Amino acid sequence: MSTGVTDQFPGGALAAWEQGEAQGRRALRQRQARILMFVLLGWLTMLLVWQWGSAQLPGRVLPGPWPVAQEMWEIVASGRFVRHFLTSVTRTFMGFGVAALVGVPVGYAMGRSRYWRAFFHDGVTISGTVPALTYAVMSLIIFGISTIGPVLAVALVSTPYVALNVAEGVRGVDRDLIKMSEAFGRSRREIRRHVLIPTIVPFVYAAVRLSFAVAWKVEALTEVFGGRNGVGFEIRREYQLFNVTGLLAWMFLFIAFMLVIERLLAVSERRLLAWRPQERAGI
Amino acid sequence: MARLTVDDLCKTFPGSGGRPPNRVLDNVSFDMQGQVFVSLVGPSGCGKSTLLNIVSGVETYTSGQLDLTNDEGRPARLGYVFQDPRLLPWRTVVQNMLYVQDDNSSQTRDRALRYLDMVGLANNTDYFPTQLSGGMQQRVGIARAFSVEPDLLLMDEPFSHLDAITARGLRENLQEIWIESRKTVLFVTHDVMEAVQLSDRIIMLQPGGRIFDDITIDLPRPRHQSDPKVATMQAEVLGRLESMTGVNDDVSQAAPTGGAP
Ligand SMILES: Nc1ncnc2c1ncn2[C@@H]1O[C@H](COP(=O)(O)OP(=O)(O)OP(=O)(O)O)[C@@H](O)[C@H]1O
Ligand SMILES: [Mg+2]
Repeated sequence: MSTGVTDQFPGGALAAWEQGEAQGRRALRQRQARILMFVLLGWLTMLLVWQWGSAQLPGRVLPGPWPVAQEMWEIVASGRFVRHFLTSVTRTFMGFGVAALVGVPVGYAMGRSRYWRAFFHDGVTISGTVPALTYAVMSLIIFGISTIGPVLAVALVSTPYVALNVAEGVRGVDRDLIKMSEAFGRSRREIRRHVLIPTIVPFVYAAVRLSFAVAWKVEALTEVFGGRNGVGFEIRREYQLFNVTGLLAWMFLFIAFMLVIERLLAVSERRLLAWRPQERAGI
Repeated sequence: MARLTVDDLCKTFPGSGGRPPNRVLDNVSFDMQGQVFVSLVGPSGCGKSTLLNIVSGVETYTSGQLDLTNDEGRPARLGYVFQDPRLLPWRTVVQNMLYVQDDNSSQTRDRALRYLDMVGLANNTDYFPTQLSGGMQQRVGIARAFSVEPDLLLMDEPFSHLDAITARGLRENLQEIWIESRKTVLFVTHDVMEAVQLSDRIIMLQPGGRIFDDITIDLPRPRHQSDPKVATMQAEVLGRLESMTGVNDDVSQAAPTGGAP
């Protein structure tokens, strides 16, 4: 049972194999370095095109990369970045909270019973197809300028994702593991905790990752139309002041922030799902 | 330890989609108790797994009686080894062991670790099942079933998915653990060699779910495949099994079955 690779190859073959392996690794590293170089070249080109475009256009229509970078630094240093992003993030997560509160039970029911699936299916599908913008506008019409509007918009956008994914997860539960648990006299609570929930978690994660990108945009959009604070509100303010530099600075901060959050989600997902062979390979 | 009494047990699966109802167990009667290792042998489809599921309470039966108690007369505690390992993929080996325990005390933990040691996995306690070979996973399944200190241990062809060499190693391993723990075991297999090596008694089921024969194997343990006495017994049991396959065609007129003593 403990036969390692070494036992299976006579000396010469093993050495040759190891050498080939090392060569393969070196080639891979070289390729990766070259790819990184092209990524950097891509960035440089983008910045140059931007700089060139800004020089062609009159006045303050399109500021160059450097003033925008300075403005970004200003926003971060003044603490406005933290304040407004915190507001937006809090609302996004509140929206997610509502989506989870509604979506998980609905998805659970859909996964467990064909009748509940029939009951919810069309509603969930339709609400998943409605353009996100519609939700933003609708919640503004209903709630006007308030905190509830953005939260509701996010909730409406995310709920169908969560429900459908949870349903998928529940349906994928391994019947044999449940039978095993029953044969060993496990209670329903233990089965839920050790079999059902671990099965569903990866699906919920997928739902969160998918809907986060959309939800976050809806949040900002709703703030643009009717917020009193938050990132979207700041973007609109800069727009009203016709401060394109500020506008672009907020936009880039927004993008950077989203990338970081997505990264964090991916990392925590990998941690949580360490038991999956493909996750381990990725680390 | 447990006492299991099965009396005129019948099981019929209702026919679905226009198929006729399927009688899987037909007046099965036997009883067993104490430190015995009983094997249930028979061709594929004769209802062995169904019988085991009924004993464990996962499946219902149509008629007859089934009584399963431990030495104190209370409902027996069960351990189950399945054909496949059935481990929780998101829990490590030791977490899988602890999942089926009723308490979280250090004695329970030690016991779980002791059984892992007995199946040779003392160094793999923190592995995830996907990091183990099929044979190792099956060992965890066996350790898990023993570690709950069951009154009755049910095993359903635990080695049939493994290659011959691995299966042989695990069989030796099971025999050692059994000699040490002497649990009441009901073991399903279609491998006569395996049954003779491991059991005190072999109950043969024939297609249609009737008991065809009930053989006592009175040989000292540990038993080895190479032992001529074991080989002789295996030949004899195999002969009886073949005589059953001979009457296979007119099961309905078959002589009254062996039944329990
Ligand atoms: N849930 C079920 N519904 C309907 N029929 C079933 C069900 N489970 C088993 N059967 C039928 O019962 C018969 C016996 O099945 P069982 O699994 O007990 O056989 P077995 O003796 O364990 O066979 P094997 O050695 O192949 O595992 C088969 O004909 C099978 O089709
Ligand atoms: Mg079976």
